[in-house]
Amino acid sequence: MDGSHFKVSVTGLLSRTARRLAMTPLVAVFLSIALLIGALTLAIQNDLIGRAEKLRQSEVQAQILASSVAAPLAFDDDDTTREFLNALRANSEIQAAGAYDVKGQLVAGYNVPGAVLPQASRVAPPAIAGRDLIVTTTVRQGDTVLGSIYLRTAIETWPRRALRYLGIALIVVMASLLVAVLGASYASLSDTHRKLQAEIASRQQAEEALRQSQKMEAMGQLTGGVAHDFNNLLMVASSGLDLMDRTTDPAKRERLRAGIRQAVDRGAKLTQQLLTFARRSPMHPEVIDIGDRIRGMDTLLDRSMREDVTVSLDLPRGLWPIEVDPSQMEVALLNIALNARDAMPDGGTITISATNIPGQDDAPDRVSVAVADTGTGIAADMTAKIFEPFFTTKGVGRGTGLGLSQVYGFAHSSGGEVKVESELGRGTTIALLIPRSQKALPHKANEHAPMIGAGDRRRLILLVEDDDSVAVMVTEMLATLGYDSERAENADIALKKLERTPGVELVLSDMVMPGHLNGLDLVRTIAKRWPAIPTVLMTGYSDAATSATDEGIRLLLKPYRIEELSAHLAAAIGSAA
Amino acid sequence: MAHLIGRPVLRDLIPERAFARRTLRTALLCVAAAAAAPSPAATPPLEQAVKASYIFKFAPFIEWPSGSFAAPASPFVICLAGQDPFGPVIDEVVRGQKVAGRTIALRRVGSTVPAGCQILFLGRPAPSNNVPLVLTPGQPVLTITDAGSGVGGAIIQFVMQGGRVRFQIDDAGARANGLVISSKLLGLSIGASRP
Repeated sequence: MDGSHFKVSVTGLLSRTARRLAMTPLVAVFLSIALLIGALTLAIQNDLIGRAEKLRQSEVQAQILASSVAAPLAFDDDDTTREFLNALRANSEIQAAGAYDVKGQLVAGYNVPGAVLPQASRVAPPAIAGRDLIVTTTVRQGDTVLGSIYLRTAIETWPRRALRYLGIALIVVMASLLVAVLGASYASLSDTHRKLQAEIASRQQAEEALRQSQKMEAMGQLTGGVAHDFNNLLMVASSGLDLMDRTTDPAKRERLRAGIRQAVDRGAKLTQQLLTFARRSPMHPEVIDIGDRIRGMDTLLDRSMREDVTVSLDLPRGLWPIEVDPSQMEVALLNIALNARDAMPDGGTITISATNIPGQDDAPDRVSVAVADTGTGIAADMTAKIFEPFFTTKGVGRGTGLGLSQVYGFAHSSGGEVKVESELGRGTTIALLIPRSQKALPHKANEHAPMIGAGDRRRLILLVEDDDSVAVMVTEMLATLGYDSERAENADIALKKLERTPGVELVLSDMVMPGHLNGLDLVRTIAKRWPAIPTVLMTGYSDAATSATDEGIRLLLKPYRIEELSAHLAAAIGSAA
Repeated sequence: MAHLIGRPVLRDLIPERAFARRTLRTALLCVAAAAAAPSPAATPPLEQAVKASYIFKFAPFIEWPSGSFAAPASPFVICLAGQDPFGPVIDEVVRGQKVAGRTIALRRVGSTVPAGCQILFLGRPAPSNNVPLVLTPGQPVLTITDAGSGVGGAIIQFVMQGGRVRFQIDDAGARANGLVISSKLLGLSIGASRP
């Protein structure tokens, strides 16, 4: 590593450390300060205790010395006195020591350079001079005072004192550093945590967007076929009407009428399925009968296949209920079917079957929904890859690689799994294994109610509809059912008519209308002002339908048949009566 | 480098030993002359002063048996027998002093030794009375003599050594008298090993 490189890395490290320290929570700073104060207090306390101890030691030493030199001092044996004093030199802490006679005159003593030994001494309480402790004591034998001792001791030698403070400083610095490092790492951890949470939130959004785009891709695949299909249906209806104008043969007219009726029914069913399918909604699990659901998708499945592909359903009665998001379930099945279709360039059969699979050992009861094709099959090394997002074998512009990844995501979010069995040249079976739900199926209203007449007397219904042609047709249907009707173009007019016209027994309103109020607002207003008048909403728009059913409002989905209209009206009037 | 602090003036003047002490420092030169030529007939006053002070200072280093005082308030009695070589010097020494809480009484007893002395200094017998002093053995009395006085058998005997006043202690005699002499004092006795 060359010099500049090293400098850069050190600078980087320093700036990183500084940044981390800046993020260190206040707690760590407080801790460090507390630690510092604690250490300082400890050092001072230690110093005080050390001094007190030193004082005791010095006093004892002085007293021992006093006792030792008592006789030599009394009987003028200076050599002996000096010998006793010299013995103290072994103690390097003693700066000066002296023995004085009873008059206070120095008899013998010594001092280290820099320390002063006074020539005359007086017994005084212990004193501190600079870093030295001065202790004096009386030399006595029995009651007789024979002289005094002077002892000057360094409280602590400088190297020892420095070493001690260095030790404390080192511990404090290390501890502070530890606290700082812990604080910094905590700060960086919480920062990472924050980033992670933001990341999770953005991923959840992305997943939501992905689900929607997966659905849209399936929609895109459908659109071509559906448009083509619609044109066919319109063709049937249009040519049927033309031919009806040109013939008077009742039998032929009846055939044509039935043909038109069939085409219109198919068109209605198709749009209904498309709308349900395209509805943007979060995962919203419902308990469903999977057999019914797949049977309800038949038109959608038919339309999305080519002419050379046959779809066969094998759906026994008595399948266990499962709890899944029905819309996602349909998208998943459609995605598998579309893949199956593409795997059969020369045509073939797609078999959609469902079976109950009783649980074994730890495995719970599950329902298997399998889509089998007679196509080219998938190579063994590819089977693991097909569920990866953006993995596709289709050409550019033909597939996004999101289809089967949606299948995988759906199966796992529903608590189930996906199994793939494939043999090259023989075909592929993709099976969804969804756990059985212990919940009961919701009660379903009877769709094909018998036609019910208006009863003994003609009742007045206020029809709110902005579209003239729809209004004409509905008015006709109401008349056929034996109801009188009044029409209002929008909600505002409807409210005025309600105020003016007594005897309105039911309001049948479109949902989406121009004007201040939409159908939903109108229904709410009526419920407030005329609670006795029942209301029925009609709509072809499924988002609006959802909000209406959430509020418990009676709803007719357009297009509807006269039998459905009859049943709803009868039920609404019946419940109000 | 540490150095011993002594008294350089004295050391320069008398290389062997200095014995000038306390109030007598002014008589330094005179002392030096006396030490150089001692005479038993005319003992220099400084030497006598030192001895007088020592007589008093022996007391704290010695333990007398508990029964040696007549009453708790009895004074500590120092008796001087025979000729008094000290004169008023010894009175000065003991004035106002106490030994073990007792006041000090100084008695000059001549040739008759009374009971109740704690310390008995035996001086040279008076010329008029040639009868030597007879000491009762076993009494709790610390007897002190001067080597030059011709009186023997005392527990402590002053001797001159190198011009200084030293002393010899007969510890066995002391014990026979029921006295306990501090080892600190015994250590200074001539002939005893130094501590």
